[in-house]
Amino acid sequence: MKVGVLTGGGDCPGLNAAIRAIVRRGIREPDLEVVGIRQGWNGLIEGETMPLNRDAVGGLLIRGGTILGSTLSDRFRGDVELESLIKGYRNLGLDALIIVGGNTTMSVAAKMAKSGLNIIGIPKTIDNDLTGTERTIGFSTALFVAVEAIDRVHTTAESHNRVMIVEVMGRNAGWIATLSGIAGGADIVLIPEEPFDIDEVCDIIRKRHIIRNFTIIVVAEGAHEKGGQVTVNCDELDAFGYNTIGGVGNWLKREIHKRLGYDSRSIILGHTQRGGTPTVEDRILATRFGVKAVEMALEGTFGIMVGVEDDTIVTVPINSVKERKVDAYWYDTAKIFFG
Amino acid sequence: MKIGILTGGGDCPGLNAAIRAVVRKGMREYGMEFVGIRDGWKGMLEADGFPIGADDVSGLLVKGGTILGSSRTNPLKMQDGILKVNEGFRKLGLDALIAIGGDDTLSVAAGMSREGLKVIGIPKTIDNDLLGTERTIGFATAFNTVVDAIDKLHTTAESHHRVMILEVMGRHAGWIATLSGIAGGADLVLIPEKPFDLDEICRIIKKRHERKRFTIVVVAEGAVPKGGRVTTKSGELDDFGHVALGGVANWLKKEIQARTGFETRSSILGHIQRGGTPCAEDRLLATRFGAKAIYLASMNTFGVMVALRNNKIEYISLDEAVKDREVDEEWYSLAETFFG
Repeated sequence: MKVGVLTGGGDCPGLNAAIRAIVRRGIREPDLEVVGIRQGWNGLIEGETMPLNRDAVGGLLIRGGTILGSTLSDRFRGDVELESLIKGYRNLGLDALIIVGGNTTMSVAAKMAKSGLNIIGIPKTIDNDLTGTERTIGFSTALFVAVEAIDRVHTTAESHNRVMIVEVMGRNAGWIATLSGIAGGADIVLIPEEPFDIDEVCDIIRKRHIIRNFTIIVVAEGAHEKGGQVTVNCDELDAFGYNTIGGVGNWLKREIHKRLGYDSRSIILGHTQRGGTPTVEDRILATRFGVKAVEMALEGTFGIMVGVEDDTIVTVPINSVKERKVDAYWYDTAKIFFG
Repeated sequence: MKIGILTGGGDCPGLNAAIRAVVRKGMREYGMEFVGIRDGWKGMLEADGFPIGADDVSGLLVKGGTILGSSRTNPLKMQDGILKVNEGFRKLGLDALIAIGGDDTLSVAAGMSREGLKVIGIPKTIDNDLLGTERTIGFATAFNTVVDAIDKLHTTAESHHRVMILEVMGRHAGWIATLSGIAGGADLVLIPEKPFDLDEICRIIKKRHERKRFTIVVVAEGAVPKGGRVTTKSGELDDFGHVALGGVANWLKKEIQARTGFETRSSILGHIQRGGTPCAEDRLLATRFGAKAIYLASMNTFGVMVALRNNKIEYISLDEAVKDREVDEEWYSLAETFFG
């Protein structure tokens, strides 16, 4: 059995751990061969591969990023490119293909599955915004980085009587902001799911500064005012047609300073959230996902994505995967500590 | 409503975060008052408490340990213990008590609840071995610490061609060993639930050293050879009847070195596993547990323990909770996938 592995979309810590788990589980089967596809979809089309044996994955558990490389590209959304993906799969003589990716990658994977290819998905995205799984690879590490940043900002905020704004990733879903806000003890958390009112935000800060002299605000890059739009850095679109958003932290900083006169600072964590060595949670999740994906391939179960529900590894139909928003329970928990 | 809070048993990161969540939500949403009980059940016996306000819990989210202090005192094993706890409860003017602890502290809570005390439990133990909850406060930080240690051992093992043995906590249950073994990439994991065969271990190490020149073994302090007994430091028992365990790593080191001829070293992590600032997971869990516990108090629901089930915060009867939870087959076989 020849099983291909491909990583798509933005990189994140834990991709290599998943690749290692796939290979280590795979080599326990006498006639299973694992082939790495280079540079995401590009490698599939161009037949660019690398052999994955035990030595190739030595030490990968703790290494961030992906040794296979990845691509962000929109050309694979159309039917024309779908054909070349199918052709690439056939040319490589694959019996199964494990695709590690987020929302966009899974939507392409679902199309390939529909065309009759043997596809298994593994969810990764630092945003944690996929249905069918409570956690995605990369989220825990991103959360860890954000909480560490909040901790550091705390000490300087206390010392300098400041309003500190930490802008974290989260285009449409505020998972990183909400959970890092709870774990970091943020005084206000702003997320895309709950459009904010700048007057209310300033009111909370004003009241808080009667008893405290600093405020920490965690804001997701996609957060916006009620009736407002997301803050866009520039008009450029990336290959998937996404705006390059961001800058809401700086906008908030100016508004808060203007309205309250408090010294305000903003930091934008940006790509540090997807770098570094994976946390233990991500290593374990990636390992469990990788092992399960191979076991599904051995069983002949395809057209699915692995996921974690109730702390158990499950599978869901790959075409059922959608975007997942922060629910009221989580945001309400953050709100208990506002102000 | 006046609520007492106590922390019992070994300390761990996240206790303070739970105290903070209880007080913040209780004051803000229910206008409650809080009394901190000093040193666990001992403070209840002696009616030793102090008022806790919003200022006292500020900054607690990130601080390890417990501002309340702790002890291993067991009032159920003392003459008039139950009576004295009830007396303490009255003297302090409490309407309810929140007890944060592991199986010992919560078994007292369960016993006192049967005697009519209004008590709610919050599960903490770095061992993660309480039935009824998927996670306990302190576990995530402990196993983060262990994985960090395994990472560090890896580099020196590679450089010196050694067998490295890391002994971690886990008296009856090997949760820390199993999960840290998976996340740290251990080549062998030995836990109390699975008595090991020394010959088998040496065979795996020898075979591994045909290709690699180092091996990392993670062993829980309560791990035993087949038909053997746990290694104890001394015969002493504490108040709850526990012996002081430890030393299995040193024993393994001698045996492995003698049988394989490979240079072998052992490290024992000990109490650093329960120290330091709580990791993000523990802060979240402690905050969620604390918020739920005080909500239950406001609803007059007592005799229960808050629990993580299906990644949601629920609650179960205290009687159900105070049982050991062992590492299940699925987790251990995942660790085994990477043995050798």
